[in-house]
Amino acid sequence: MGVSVPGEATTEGQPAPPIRSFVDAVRSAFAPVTGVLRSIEVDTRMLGMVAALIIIWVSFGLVSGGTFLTARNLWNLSVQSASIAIMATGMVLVIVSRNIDLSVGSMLGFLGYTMAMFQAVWIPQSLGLGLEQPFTWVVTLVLGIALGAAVGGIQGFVVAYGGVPSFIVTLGGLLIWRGLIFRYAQGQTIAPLDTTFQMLGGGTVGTRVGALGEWPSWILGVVICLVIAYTLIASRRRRRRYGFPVRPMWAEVLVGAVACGVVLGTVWVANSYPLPPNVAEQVAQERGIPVPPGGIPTGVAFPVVIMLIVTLIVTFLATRRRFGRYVYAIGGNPEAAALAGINVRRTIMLTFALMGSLAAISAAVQTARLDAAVTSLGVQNELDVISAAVIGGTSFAGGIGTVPGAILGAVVMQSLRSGMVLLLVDSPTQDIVVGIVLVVAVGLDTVVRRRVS
Amino acid sequence: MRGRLVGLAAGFTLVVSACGGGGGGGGAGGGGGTTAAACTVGVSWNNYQEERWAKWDEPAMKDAISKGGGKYVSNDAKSSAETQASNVDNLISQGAKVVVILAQDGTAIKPAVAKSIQNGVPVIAYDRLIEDPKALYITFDNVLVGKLEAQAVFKAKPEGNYAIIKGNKADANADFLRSGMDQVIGDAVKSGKIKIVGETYTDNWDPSKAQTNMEQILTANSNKVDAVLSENDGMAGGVIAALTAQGLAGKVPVSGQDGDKAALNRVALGTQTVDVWKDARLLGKTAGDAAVQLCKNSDPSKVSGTASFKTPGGNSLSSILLTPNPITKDNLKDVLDAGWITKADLCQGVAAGKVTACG
Repeated sequence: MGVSVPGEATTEGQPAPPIRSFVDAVRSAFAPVTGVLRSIEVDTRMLGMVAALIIIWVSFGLVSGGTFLTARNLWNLSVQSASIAIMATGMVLVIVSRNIDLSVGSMLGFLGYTMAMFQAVWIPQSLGLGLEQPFTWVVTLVLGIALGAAVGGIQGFVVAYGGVPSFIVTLGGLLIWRGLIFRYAQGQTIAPLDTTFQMLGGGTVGTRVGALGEWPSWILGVVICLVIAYTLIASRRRRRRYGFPVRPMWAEVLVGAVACGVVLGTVWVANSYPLPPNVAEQVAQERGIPVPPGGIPTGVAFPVVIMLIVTLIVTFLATRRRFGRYVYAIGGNPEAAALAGINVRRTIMLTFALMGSLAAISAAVQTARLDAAVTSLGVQNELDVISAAVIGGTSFAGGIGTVPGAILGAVVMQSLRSGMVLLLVDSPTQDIVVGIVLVVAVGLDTVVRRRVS
Repeated sequence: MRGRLVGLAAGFTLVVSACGGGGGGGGAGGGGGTTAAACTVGVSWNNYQEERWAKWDEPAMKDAISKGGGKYVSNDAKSSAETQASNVDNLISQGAKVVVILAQDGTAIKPAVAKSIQNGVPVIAYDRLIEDPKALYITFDNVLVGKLEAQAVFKAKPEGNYAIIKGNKADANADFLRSGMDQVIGDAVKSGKIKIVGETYTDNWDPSKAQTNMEQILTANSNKVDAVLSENDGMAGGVIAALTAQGLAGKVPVSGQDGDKAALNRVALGTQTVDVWKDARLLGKTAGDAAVQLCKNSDPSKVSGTASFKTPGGNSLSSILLTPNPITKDNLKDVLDAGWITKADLCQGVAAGKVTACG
């Protein structure tokens, strides 16, 4: 994933002697650490973010008297972060290609509303098929994603082929899609939604829980570990074949172990959160077993499963497919990319279409979670999504940014928000804190990068 | 955007002043009659795009005015405070003897209102407060709405841990509602019978934010929340989604207001305790009747049913505060009889024989 490896030190812009000796001293003090980092080839920026996240979690944990670090709160946090994280993966590619999408919040609202209409009005009433059909949720989701790709694709077409700056096109989109919601929703809330569809939001309906449960969660964790191991081995082989330098074996094992540890740790936390007693009793009754003493483990929530799948797919597209390499090439230098024979326009249009379909997936998660489509759906989500991508290390200059970074960015943002709600901090103060963190995070990153090069 | 709106407004003013000499007004709802009509009532809507005004308020108001022998003209400010100010002038040049204003911004409209009253045209502040001591304020009693919300929940849970989900901080209604709630639970809070374990404002009354806030309150208190006072139906939806995830929906009483279809359905299903319903048609009719009376006598305090109202800004003005109707499982029939909601929408998913109104 080391897409943005910092360049080697250059001799240009040498600092004044005293500062220089200080910098040298610091550098030599950290030499062993940087040496290790270099051999692991892990993005230092990513490490910084992980450190920031740990600091945030530990501080909230201390201040809230431990509540923040309970399995339950972390489970909530994972669900609350999912919908922003899903969109942030696509936003990375949009920003990397030197564009922006301001319309994601409005698109999400529009798509969420349309999907709600599909399952609550059009399929049951207009087609006369009735509520709660087994196929309703799939049809709704597939049509929603297709519509999202079309809506995003239209904006992308205007940007790529019409030559209108993406800032303007998507600013227009922000107004248009929101306006359309008011037009045909007329201020009405659409609810309730299909009960199977509601599972996508991680909620509970009767004895059906929107999470994987204990064993499927472990299986998911192990599968992801195997994918990580396979990716590491495959990449090592490929590097060998092309005669590229490879990491020492111990570094390879360390990276794999840490990544796998994080995945299994997440599963463990999700499984440590038992179903609420009321729900557990009903579930146990239905299975004909007594409630076990530790309760019934909830497991990884469906929105998080969806987020993981999206992350895998978009990371794969970004790093292993021609499409993704083109996006980074265009972001690095559009003219060079065009001269190299890359179809720049088509690639740009596709990034917006991808963004649209991801907005549809997030819309499904958000409406399912709320069990309703409301007119304020997705308001200001564009700001959260862009912030997540940028805190996650995506650069507005283009060409730099990673999908896992954006996911981390989304988790950092949501940790701040829900931690502050837990401490009953009022919403204006929350906005101030998140705003400051955004500017400081990007500012620090810029300063550090300038120092390093 | 802004420039275009101003341009539109200016263009509209030009057209109207050109017609003004001829004495005929061609307003949005005007029939092009003469200014000599006994009582022309001009209505300035702030945003006619919202479903409610066209569907419920306007027909009732129009009906009351024409029954009183008056004539109805109207225009739409399209959510712009400056357009609304010139719209009020336009209504007067169209011959309005009384102006009804649904204010976009209760402060920005004040100069236009003062000018209108100085010219002998009385003003009705419709649904939203305008801080002018000479205006007539007609609305549903928001403090009472909060009180009714709290009463229903308090009746179900007279003691225990309460969570309070308030609306947008910048909206005065959020605090009116909260003060009404305090009239009911205030004593119990002081005596320690009720403990408020979480109280938050919600940006833009956003249901998803209310859901997240409720999840965090439940987490912080290990689910020991016995009742939730939510200020409106949308947020109640978010709260109930959070309760459902913990298997608590239907066990913890929740309040709301607005008469949303989804919320009334929740009342029938038993997951929401009360939905304080404000029949917009009653508001429209009352304003129409009052306007006709103001044509004959421009003193607002002489309109029947008025009382003095002390505003947050320290003014006291004549007002008619209508009483909202708290809808619970027991009187769902009221909304059906009034044609507010269809039986299919109200009773979706309700098991037969559980709720009288659903059969």
